Amino acid sequence: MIRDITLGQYYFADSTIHRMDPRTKIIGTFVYIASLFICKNIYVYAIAFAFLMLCIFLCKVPIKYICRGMKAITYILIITMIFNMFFTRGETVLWRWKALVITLEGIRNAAFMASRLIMLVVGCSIMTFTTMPSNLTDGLESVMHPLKYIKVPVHEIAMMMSIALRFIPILMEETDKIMKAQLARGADFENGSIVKRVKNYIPVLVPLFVASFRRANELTLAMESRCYRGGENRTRMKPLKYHKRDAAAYITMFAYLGIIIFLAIYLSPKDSTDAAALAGSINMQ
Amino acid sequence: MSLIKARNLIYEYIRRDEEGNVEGITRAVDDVSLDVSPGQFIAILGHNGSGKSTLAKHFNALINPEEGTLLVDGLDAREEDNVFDVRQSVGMVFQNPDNQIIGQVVEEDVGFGPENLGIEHDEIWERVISSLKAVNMYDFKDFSPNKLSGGQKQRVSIAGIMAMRPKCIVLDEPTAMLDPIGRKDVLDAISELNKKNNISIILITHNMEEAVLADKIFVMNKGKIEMSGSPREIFSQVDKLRKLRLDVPPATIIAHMLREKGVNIPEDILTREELVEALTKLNNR
Amino acid sequence: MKIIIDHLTHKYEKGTSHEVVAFEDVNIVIEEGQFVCLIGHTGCGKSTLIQHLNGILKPDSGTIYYNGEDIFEKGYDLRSLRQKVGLVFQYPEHQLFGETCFSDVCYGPLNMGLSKKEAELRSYEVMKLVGIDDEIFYQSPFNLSGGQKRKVAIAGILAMRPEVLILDEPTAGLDPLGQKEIFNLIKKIQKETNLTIILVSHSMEDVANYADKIVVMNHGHVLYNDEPKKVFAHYDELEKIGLKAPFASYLMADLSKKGFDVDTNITTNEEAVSEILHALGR
Repeated sequence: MIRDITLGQYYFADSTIHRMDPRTKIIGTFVYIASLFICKNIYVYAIAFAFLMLCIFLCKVPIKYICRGMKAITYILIITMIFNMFFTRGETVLWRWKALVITLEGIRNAAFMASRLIMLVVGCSIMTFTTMPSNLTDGLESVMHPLKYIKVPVHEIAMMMSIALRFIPILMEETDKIMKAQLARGADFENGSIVKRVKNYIPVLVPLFVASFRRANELTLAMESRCYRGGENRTRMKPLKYHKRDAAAYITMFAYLGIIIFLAIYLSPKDSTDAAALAGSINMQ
Repeated sequence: MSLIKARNLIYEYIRRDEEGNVEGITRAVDDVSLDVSPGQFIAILGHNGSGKSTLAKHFNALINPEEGTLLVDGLDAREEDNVFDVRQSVGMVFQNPDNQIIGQVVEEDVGFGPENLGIEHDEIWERVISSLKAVNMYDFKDFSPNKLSGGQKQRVSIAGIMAMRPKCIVLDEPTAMLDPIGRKDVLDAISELNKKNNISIILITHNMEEAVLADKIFVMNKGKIEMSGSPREIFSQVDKLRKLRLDVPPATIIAHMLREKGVNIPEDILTREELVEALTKLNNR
Repeated sequence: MKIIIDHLTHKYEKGTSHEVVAFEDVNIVIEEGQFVCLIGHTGCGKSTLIQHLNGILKPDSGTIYYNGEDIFEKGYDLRSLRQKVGLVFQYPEHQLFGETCFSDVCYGPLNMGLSKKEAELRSYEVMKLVGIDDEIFYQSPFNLSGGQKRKVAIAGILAMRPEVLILDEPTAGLDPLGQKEIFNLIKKIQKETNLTIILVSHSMEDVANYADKIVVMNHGHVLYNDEPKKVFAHYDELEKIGLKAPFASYLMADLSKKGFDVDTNITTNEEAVSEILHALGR
């Protein structure tokens, strides 16, 4: 059931990307996300796509496994597409029924948004597939360190994230167990109107909340008894260290970002959605 | 000198109704005095709600007694400044293996305590490795805790305490949620730490087979220490234990039943071997 | 009513590299009114197996016949099967959610589509049966002690008036008295209602007294499926797979080695005492 979701989980493998410093990967992911929002035309997208494929190739996570993770965002994807399809105004009307209109621009927009979303999620999940959660939180703590000077509780945020990551699988299992237990008492999670279905989940949610509070309580005690007192005077068991491959990665990602920015400015078309016009402008060079 | 010296400890839980008025007071710990010497193995027996868990939390300065004195390793546990020293010299292992593991990888969890103590990087690793070896979990050092069995998780928790180099470990029903195999592994680990590393053990349990391992047993009821003595002294009082809602080892029960039928057999039989021997003696006479 | 488990196999993460066989080719027949104990260490597949009996999990091959009907056949009404085959999970108190104990117990019957009155009537009846005092009826289940919570949870299943009651380690985590109370309760339920009972446990000691039949599982296979005394006779093999026969079985074996004339097939402390008295000539 819920346990099939692979999104956001660590995939055990030994690759260049796996071995990179988490900070490199976090900054790399930010760079990649930024690049997706910079580009507005299909050629720049193609480069972003090629960059993504390169990362997938390097990280040795099977494509099949990555696709399985995409199942989790199917609904968001469909909703995004439907919204873009029906709410984009355009001239080339393809289909009309009462107030509903589908235009060529709408379809194009929907395709754009969907591919951007997919690339975004795949990009981020490469980070989570290749970085152990503990490493990831260490990296985040370090990347966010400057924020400490404006009183952001960086260590606490990182600690909360790492605890959340540790407990997600446990709570998922717990949800699964409670659902089964209520099924055994004749619960019905599949039929009925949406309101009714939400109501049917109360017998799952209440015990889940109770269990989470109990766990949180016990975890606090366990942490306290092991002398935890925040980030002050804490030493690191695994301090972060940059290697040569990180330097190479930084050079690659900033070169990539440079190319994207350059192309975005240079190719900035009058009509960004008109791919034909774009194709023409490229040919002219 | 005793490692833990408790004199006339009193702790009360105050129940309040929704408006905050006092509804009732439960004395969870009532005038308890006890001593634990270095290297001693102590078991605290009692049924659920007898106050044994509340008492245990005192030794780790997780709660402070309302009245009485508590010295841990010569330090007054009620002094704010001593809290972390007390927690470092008396470690605590809790019942639910899931709710006390903080790290997302076994070795990181074991390193959590030393990190909090501000230990140097190289020494943390030394401690982590030696502690994992001590509980026979070294081979699992880079596993996710979620992939371990309950008994294995509990041994990781013990290693996490060991890495803080405590003088005493308090274990609050560490085997209550485990299967027989996990139970045995955890108990073996505990007795080995006690014998090899000369660490004092305070084992809180309602399982008499576990209590038999101890040098001294305290039996709690309604917050008070009802009985104390060696396992042999305690378990020979079958009727009294039963009144306190506790069990007795099967060999002791059978010996007791035989005595009731007029067989002249010693009262302080604990194990099957002793029972067989006593019966053989009778038969040969 | 009779349950036939027929060549049942279940695998986790089938078709991936992490495929794990939960159990394989399991064949068990459970007669009406029988008290069956399913024993094995953690991970032997027993918990997965019982979740097939009420159709919450589906097998990869093989099937189960309930009353002669194949429950995994298309169109079989699994929801009504779940009323007839009541399953009490491990730590069942973790599923409690009602504002009061009483409303929690009513949840099952109401899901069956019974009227409120009928549901309350049944709930009252089972809460009396499991021995919950009147003053606890309208308390929040979260305020009760571990043993009481568990009784409420068991009542929640019994209120559906199942024909078969399955309990997965019903005494886990309780103190000795709590364990005894739950066992006495199960015995009482069986006596008064003549339910078929399937009990999952780690411990032979606990079940020696009541079981008509013991099924021992190991690594997803049925190792023994026989009456208790015959199963316990294999105590050497049981020990090899991390299980234990009751204390009395070992004691009798030891004594007979020492030349005592005792029956080595006994399982309870009471029997042991009378055997010893007999052997001592009293």
